Amino acid sequence: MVTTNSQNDLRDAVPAARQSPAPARLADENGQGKTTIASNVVQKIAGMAAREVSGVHAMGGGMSRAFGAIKERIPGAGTSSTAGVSVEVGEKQAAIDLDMIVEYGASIADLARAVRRNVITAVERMTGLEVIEVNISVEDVHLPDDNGGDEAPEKSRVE
Amino acid sequence: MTAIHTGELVDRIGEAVLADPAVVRLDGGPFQTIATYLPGRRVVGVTAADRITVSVVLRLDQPIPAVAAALRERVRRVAGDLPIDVHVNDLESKEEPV
Repeated sequence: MVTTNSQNDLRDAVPAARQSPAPARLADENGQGKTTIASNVVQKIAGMAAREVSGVHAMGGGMSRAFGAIKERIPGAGTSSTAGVSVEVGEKQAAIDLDMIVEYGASIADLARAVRRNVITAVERMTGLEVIEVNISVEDVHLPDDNGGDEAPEKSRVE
Repeated sequence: MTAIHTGELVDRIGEAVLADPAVVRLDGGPFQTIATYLPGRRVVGVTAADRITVSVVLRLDQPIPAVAAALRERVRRVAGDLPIDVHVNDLESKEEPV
């Protein structure tokens, strides 16, 4: 671990343009220590925020869902709550890629905009990282009768 | 900091961190490498030398910068004025331990 206790040395090394107003949101600037956030933290927040938007059926595309099923069995390789979400996390910024399946009947452009807004809000508010981009790829549309699970199971006609 | 005091110190830091309601548990990261090795035992998720590192799993519904600041304050109260690195390893909600 690099120990830069003397912040003055660090400041000298940073170009002038970068010192100024960049918000020190993770409180690491005055020698009090750094806050680091693991990437699966950002993954989880982004996944939850995307899923809670109405019109998103599931996260993950065909391929990532197929691999996800295998990945869940590998310790430390991520879980269903992070399926379809990949992130890059730096010290101050994060970039997020989402694969998702939408409900049939949703306006995909509007939905993507809403998901992007919700994800950015959630990640920025909860982690203090600046989200520089959210790339959304819609992998499939879920039709209402795709797997029969949407309507209530047909009841027996006789009692 | 002498070796004799290190065990007591990391215990107190661990307790202070766990006292925060936003903290689910201490966690040493991948392979539990963030830990203090002591005679006969080890304290996972805390190291204390010329700077202090705490590595935690947090509740899902808390803004991380605020929690980190609160943790730093708690640790500072027991450990004194050292730089304190807070590492957020994972998030968990109460309902679904993922």
